[in-house]
Amino acid sequence: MSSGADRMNCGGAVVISVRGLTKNFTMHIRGGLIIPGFADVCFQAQAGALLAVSGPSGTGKSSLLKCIYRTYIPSAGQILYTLADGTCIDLAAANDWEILALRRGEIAYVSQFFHVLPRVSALEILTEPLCVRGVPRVQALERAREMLSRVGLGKTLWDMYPSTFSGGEKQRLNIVHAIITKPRLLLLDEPTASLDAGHKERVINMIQALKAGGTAMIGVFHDRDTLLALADARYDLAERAAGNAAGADSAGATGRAGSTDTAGGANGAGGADSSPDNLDSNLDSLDI
Amino acid sequence: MDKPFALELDGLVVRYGKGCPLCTDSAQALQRNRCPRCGSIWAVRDISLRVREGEILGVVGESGSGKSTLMRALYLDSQPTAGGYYLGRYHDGKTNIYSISLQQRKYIRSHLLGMVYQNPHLGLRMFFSAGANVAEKLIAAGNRNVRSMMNRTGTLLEHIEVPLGRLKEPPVNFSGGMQQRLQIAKAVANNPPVLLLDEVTTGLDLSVQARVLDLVKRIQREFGVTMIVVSHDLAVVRMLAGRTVVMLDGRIIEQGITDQILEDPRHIYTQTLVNSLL
Repeated sequence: MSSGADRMNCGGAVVISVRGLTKNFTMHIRGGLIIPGFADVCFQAQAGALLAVSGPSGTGKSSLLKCIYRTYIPSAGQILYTLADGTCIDLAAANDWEILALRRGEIAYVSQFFHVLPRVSALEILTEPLCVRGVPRVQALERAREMLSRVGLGKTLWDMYPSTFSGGEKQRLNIVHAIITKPRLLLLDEPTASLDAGHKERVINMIQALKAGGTAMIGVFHDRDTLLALADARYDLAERAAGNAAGADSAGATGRAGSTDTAGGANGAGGADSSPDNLDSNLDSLDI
Repeated sequence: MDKPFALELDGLVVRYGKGCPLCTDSAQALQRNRCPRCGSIWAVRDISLRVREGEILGVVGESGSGKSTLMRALYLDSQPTAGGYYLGRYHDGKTNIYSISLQQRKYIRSHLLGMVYQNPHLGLRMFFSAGANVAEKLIAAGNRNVRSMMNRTGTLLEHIEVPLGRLKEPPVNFSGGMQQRLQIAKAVANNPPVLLLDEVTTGLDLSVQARVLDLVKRIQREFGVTMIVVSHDLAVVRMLAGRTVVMLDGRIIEQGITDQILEDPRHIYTQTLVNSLL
């Protein structure tokens, strides 16, 4: 945390490249017990494509997203993030100020549970990230109102405190809060878990639109419809772990990483709506 | 991405007591922060900090960990045993403030720093009027124009939601929450670039806490003031601070982005602290 991370040139449409990422938790209050989160995760996420991280509960999907957002500090490995100007920064080694600046500017995270400041209205919550980036207040308000309408939050809610919102309303506000600044990298942790079908579709459309604009996305979805609608590629943590456990199964692991790349690449140029059929067949064998 | 530092602290040490060869030579000899031979208390041991402009830094730790001693040293209430202290707005951060004259320190206290003490009795003159309390700070900064001081005081009281009608009342008549808000008004009277808040919400009931925190957030949002916020309440720090340091026995044992400290703490003490909360 003391020194800045090394910067190097990555190039290409790859926005984030995760290499050998490992997370273990050391519980000092349980006598130094080490709880493994995930190990040796490798993947790439491309501009304009969504990579779905899958695997049964407890395989470390959310922890992986938190490591990328640096709410968790990775135990080993690299998270190479390419900035708009083509330079590259290792999020696993970047200092706190660099991470905070990226969070303000380009990396957004939709958490499973929404932590908002109490006594701040929905509109204020949405204008804040825009105002921080220098958008004039009038325009920020206009954009916030537009986004709230698109996600199906009625006018009566705009000046209310989100602590009074229903679960689904909170979740939609959470998503809008993350995407209103058009981030370059979006991390989604079950963004549609508590939404009904109609609102789910609105959210999916908004995420699609953002993706078409070139945002790279990494998501965790338990909801199959959302997954099929949004995912361009898949990375399975359980298979990866099984591969690691089996030892020399590196061929399988690279094969998986390879397929990830092609799916993402094919889609990166063409927009968001390539057929997810091949993905579907993969999914049938999966417990998600 | 590089922002200038608003405040930098280099190897701050505050020792109460004479010290002896045992505790001066080896920190390991201390029992927590006390020397077993000479009884000296090492309230702050070798603390280094950097705070960037416009940033809010949280400081958490149990009582007796040295938080308030640190804050008093930052507000120049006491001369530390050792250390360097630099403010970006004073000589471009090139002069150690612990080495300058009392007169210069007074200038820094009235122009560049604002302090809100945990105990309002330390920050306010309880038997002078609320208006005089704020005016004192304005006068210290060289203001001699009664009308402009009255205007400024009025604006500030409005800002902290104290009715103007109570301008002439002494703060001893105020509720705890009002006293704390008056302290904040006094602290920000001269628009200092750095604000030090020591347990601003401790001992206040929840709704009053909320109003004080709202006020602090508003000051940060509107004026981009750099702040150091000390609290033993992790919720306060989660709400206000982008980065947080954790203190124990006079030392910083852990620091990081606030949500990382709360969700992925590495030190045994922080893990215990966080687990007692959640």
